[in-house]
Amino acid sequence: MLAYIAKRILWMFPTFFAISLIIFLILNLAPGKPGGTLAGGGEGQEASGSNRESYRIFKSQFNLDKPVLFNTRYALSDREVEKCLRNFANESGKTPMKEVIKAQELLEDYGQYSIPALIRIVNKEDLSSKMMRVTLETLLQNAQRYPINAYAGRLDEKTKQLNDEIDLENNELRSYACSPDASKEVQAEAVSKWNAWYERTKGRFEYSPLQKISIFFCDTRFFKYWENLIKFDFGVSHIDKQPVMGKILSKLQYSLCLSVPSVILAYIISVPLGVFSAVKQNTLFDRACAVVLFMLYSLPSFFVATILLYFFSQGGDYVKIFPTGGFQDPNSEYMTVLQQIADVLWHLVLPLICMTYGSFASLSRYARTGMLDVIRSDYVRTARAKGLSEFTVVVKHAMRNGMIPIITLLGTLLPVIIGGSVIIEYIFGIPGMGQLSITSIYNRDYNMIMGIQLISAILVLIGILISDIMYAIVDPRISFK
Amino acid sequence: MRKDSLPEKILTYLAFIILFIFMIIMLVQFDKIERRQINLEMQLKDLEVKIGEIASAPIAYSVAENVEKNPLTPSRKYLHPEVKNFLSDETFKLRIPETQVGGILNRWMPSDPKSFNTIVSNDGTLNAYVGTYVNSEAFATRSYSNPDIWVKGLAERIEITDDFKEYTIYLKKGVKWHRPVVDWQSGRYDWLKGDHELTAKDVKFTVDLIKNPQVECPHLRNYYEDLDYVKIIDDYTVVFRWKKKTYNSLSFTVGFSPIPEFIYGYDEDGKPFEKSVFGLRFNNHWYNMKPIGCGPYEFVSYVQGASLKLKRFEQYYGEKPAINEINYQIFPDQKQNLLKIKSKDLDFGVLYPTDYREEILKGDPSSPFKNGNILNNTYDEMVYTYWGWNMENSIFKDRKVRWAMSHALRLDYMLETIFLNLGQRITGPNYIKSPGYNKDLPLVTFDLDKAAKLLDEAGWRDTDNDGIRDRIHDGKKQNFEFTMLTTSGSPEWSAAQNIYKEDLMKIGVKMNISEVDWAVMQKRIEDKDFDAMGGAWGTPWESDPYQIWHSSQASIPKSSNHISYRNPEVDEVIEELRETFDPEKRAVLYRKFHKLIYDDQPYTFIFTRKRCAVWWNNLHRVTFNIIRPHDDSRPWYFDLKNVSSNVNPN
Amino acid sequence: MEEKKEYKKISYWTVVWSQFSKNTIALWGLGAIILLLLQAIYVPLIALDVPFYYSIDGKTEYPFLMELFNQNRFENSIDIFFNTFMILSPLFLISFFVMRKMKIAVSKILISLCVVLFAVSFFMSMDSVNTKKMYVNYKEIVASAIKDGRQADALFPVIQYSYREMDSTAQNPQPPSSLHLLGTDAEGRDVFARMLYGTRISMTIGVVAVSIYMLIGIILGAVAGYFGGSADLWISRIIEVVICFPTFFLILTLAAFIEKRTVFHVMILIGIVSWTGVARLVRGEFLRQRGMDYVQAAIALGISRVKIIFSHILPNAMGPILVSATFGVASAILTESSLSFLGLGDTTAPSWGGILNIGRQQGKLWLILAPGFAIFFVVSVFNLVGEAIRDAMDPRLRQ
Repeated sequence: MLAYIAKRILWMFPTFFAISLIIFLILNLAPGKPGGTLAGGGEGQEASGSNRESYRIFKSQFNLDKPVLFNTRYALSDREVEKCLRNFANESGKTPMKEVIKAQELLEDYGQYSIPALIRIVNKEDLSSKMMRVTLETLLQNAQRYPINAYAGRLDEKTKQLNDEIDLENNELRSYACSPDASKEVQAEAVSKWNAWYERTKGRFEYSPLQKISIFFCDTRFFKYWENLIKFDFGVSHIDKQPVMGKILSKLQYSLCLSVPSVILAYIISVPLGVFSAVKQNTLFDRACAVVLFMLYSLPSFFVATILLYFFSQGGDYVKIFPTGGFQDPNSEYMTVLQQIADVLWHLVLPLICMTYGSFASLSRYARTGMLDVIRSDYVRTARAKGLSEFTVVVKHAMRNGMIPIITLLGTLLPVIIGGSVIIEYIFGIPGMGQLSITSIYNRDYNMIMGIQLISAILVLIGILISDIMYAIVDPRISFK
Repeated sequence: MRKDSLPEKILTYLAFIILFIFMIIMLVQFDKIERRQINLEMQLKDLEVKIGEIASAPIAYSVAENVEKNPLTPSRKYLHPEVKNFLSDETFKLRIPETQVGGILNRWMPSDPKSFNTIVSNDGTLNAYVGTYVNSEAFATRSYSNPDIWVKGLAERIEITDDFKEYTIYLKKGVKWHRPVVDWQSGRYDWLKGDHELTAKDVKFTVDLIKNPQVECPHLRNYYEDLDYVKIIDDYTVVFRWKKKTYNSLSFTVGFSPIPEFIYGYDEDGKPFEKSVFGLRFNNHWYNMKPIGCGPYEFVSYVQGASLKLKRFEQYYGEKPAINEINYQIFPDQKQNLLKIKSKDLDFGVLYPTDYREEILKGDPSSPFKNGNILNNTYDEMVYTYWGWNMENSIFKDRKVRWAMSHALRLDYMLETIFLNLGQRITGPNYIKSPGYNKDLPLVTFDLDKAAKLLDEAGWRDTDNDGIRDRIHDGKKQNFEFTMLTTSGSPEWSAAQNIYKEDLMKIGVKMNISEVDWAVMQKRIEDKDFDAMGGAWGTPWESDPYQIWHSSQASIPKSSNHISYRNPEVDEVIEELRETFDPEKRAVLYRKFHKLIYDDQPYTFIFTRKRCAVWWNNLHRVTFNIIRPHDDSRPWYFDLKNVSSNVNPN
Repeated sequence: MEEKKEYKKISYWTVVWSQFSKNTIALWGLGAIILLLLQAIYVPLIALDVPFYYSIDGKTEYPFLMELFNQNRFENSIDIFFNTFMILSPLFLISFFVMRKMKIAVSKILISLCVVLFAVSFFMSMDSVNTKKMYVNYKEIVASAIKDGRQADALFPVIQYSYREMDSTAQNPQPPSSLHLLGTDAEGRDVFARMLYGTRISMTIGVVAVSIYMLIGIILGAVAGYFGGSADLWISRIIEVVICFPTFFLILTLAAFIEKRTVFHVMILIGIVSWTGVARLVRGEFLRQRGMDYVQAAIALGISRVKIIFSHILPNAMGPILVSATFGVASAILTESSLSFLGLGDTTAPSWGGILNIGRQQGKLWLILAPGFAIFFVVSVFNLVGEAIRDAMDPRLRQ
């Protein structure tokens, strides 16, 4: 048994790796790019310009300037870089703006890898003045290194020193800049400065085969993400730069308050229903119960939620019994604990209804089939023959074994319990996980989306494991090979 | 199996029941005690407020009077006493004799601010909801009653040289920053203790930050590119020197708002940041998720996705507002907004057009909106909406085509039925109430025949009889088909687009609609990856058209001239505007600019938005500012005597 | 001889059908599904803003037929598909009866005819045939002719509105009236017409999405179950991985990322994330059946593996697959309407979820109740039928 569990847990790692790889690929290859919300303006845009530099910083901080899976930029050819430069310079004036912008973005992403090629290009004889200007600008932009900065934690002395060095070098490089309308001589002077600098730092841009391999695999988005993931660090949200894990944890309480009572309620109501219909199999009650529960199962929860809100909390022509949404009263800090609990419960009535009724059908069905399996078995018949009352037979003897399947289901409910319900939370304005998911989707908050997906995947994995183990524990007949 | 005997069983049950009763009694007792404590707390809070009132009010008023009587405080020497003070006094009083102090204002905030750091975040939500109250205190602000006049804020005097290049700013003394909200008991934040005063150091600190390339503030840095230097004369005097004479420099110097150095310059343990990564660290500063400033309200608490609370800052240097606390409820759903206003969970709110129709135009007499419990008013927003035609696209290069597009818009009908007259039609980019708005230009009429004629003239004809106009362009057949890019989420706008789409279909133009989220939309606009787009510009009182309309911005990625509009004549006017300071000459130039844009129709201008604000009738003196933020609640007050305000009905 | 023949006729499916037909509710449900399908196909006859004929001053025109294929009028290719299907369906019936009379082997020809029909419809619905025509407002033409005092006459379908025509004569949204049976939405589009056309969207979503994932699931499951060994190992691993995906959230994310969403995107999305259940089911069935004698016999006879898989084992495993497909349709419809409700569906299509979303925003009861009950009805009908099939196939429940 223990060996089996250990094996299962070990299997979880490659599975999880595959999941993360697939989700990562889907997110990164999907159209649309993050960073758009950086200067978010909500409804109206503010009349303002923007600055390329901060977008670059944003990209580098989230590793968005790196290739997704494999990095071959250590072998950037002059041709590729020059093509980008030509597009960016737009000498003919005929390149569509879309292409120009794409070229600029690509040049930025090449970063340090483009330096040797850029130096070679800048030394070419036949460069037009516009190309020269663009090349020099790109060189200046890409040659500067970013200081090392971790989001959390203090920098040690060595990094500090390195940062100071980088800062110093960047300052020097910035002095190489020449104005857009500089003359040929000034440009030539700048080129010679660049050459001198390149001679000094050449070693940095020559890679040994080992380095190349490590760049190929490691200097990529996916690797960088996994590097952090191993430390159970999901990164920080693109939007407000708060750690993903912390944000998820802070939302958890709301979702739990909704889903735990919902699951308990569902069990309390549907198990007796299922048992009862099993005992009264093929009676009118059984059939009616099945049909009604199936109807409930088919009722879309967003429809029910809308209707309930319309009739029970709007006021006007209809009664106003329940609050219109939210998790608790805004002035709840002036309430005593008991009042607060009552207040939260009051807020949760409608969402609970909407979350719960749908699961009656499947749960009671499981309970029913579980009961049907045992109710005809010999030991139940024996119990009956002993003259025990029908109640004792059903509740004490049959239910113990009949409920095995439904108890093991609990494990698979884990992701639902923690993940919350997107639609219910959206309609009722409960600031839980569901709400977080949908806002992160709307905001293109990649790290957040990744984090939520991965955490729910982990939960599914654990849930399946738990339910298998529970199955083995409650039913000794089952053994694992 | 051992079986318990009956008495044993009964005893056990009895024990459980007794325990249960005991627990309930305990709970009830606890509840009572807690309630008493909360009552005490509330009384204490009231007392605190009252003490603050008594302690600070007379002083504040005497300072104000002092300044009025004797503008030169004797202890203070000015560098150029001969120069007239650029600032004047605010004539608008936040408190009138009837004003009652107290109350909590419950308001709605649609989404979480991305960060409370005003330098890093250019978040509309933040500026509109928190900035006004907490941290947008500037050297001077535009007057409440007349936006053309600058009145004293943090500065008591500003001297400007004749060439508008050098500004000398004299800060008021004794302006206190708010106390940070941290866990004081832990001892970790002891370095933050004590009062902190606003000094010239903070100003210099802020300017340095804005100019630091590592700091993510593109929305600000552009404007300070021409700022030569900032010099500290003494603790309360600072000089701004600009390289060029530009009109922009005026509002960006006078309207400059500093941030506190004592907190933003340090990490969580009170150590100053390393210089080399200072900007990066600042972007992710540990205090970014809490607002701090020196405004009339200070921050109390913030729960993400749920609430944000502010309370009045009793040490505020200016005239203090009447309402004690402002309590934002955060939820994205606009349907809930209405429900909460109706149930008095919110005291003040803004209605969306659908709700406006249902509740105010159509509502039945017994509803709170009609029986006088909830009052309403509309105000103009300084936002205009438009449909922009991307001129990188060969279809829209032709002016006739753009005019045809404008003529095909059934705007009057839409305004009446969809937007319910919550808007005023415009002909150009200038704010309709500003002097630069050219009133001579007629509104574009809805005329499909004319539009069709214009398209015919521009060479667009349906040659292949497929119902869609086409032409030969660059040797290839081109159909008149384009995609309109808009943000999703507004039922009114999608209705308007659908109507436009059907009307265009009638003249043989196929419009596809692509509704995307704001994040995607912004990205696509920046990459110029669109044919046409629906958008809105929030205009400041005096806008500098350079960003949006100048040709030099057309070929820059991520610029605001996303439709790549180029017109040398317009460029000239814009450049002239930048160097003209005389209000009348500016107005003439603005009108000329307006006319040129109108003739070109690079945008189809739709309207300036109106908003319908609603509030419960115990809220008084609800006035709206001409400039943003329009719904600034500082002059408002609650009638605390007649109605027991802010007691939740449930 | 006679008896033997009778005996032969009772196949597994006959038994299932006889069980199924005992269940009245399920029969009603099946009837409702067929009715819904018919309604989806023939909705232009009920609601369209094009007259069957109109005559002005004695000059009669018949625009109806041509307009059915006008891509400027029906911008959704689903509609073109259904319209083609509608036009060709009489042909289908006629050929069926003709062949029956001529005693040709009906089933094979029927199947090939079906394929041809689908192919033609599909071909029409793709942009491959340009059937665009100028957008004409026939009602306006007729009305203006009458206004001018000319002799005009026209015969429109019962409901004179298509799902996208806007009625701008009154303040919108209009409450239900005799003109608009279920009122109008904010743009002035007739909700009843939109609901009718919405059936097409829902039905297509359900059927196509389920077909996609059935296809993936059956192939992968069959391969895993039949071949076993390393193929089984790998496919099981893949299934394990995909099962862990948070399905609804993944669909939401991907739907939000697709910028020009169409109904087809939604179908494909639902299809590619929900095939695991079927794959596991089929794998289990195949593992069970593989050891049986008839399969061994088939292998011994040297029948090709593809043939064994698809024509020997698969029909025997079809029962559970059919059940899960029926439930799948219901849940696919539910997923699509949830997506549309959150504003992440196809915004141009008259999806029920979308109408409900607008209703919620507008706070109009007729815009909430109509689509809500429609979704409820369709989903519950499919669920009930699925349930009944399952019961009918369960030997324990057989009486």
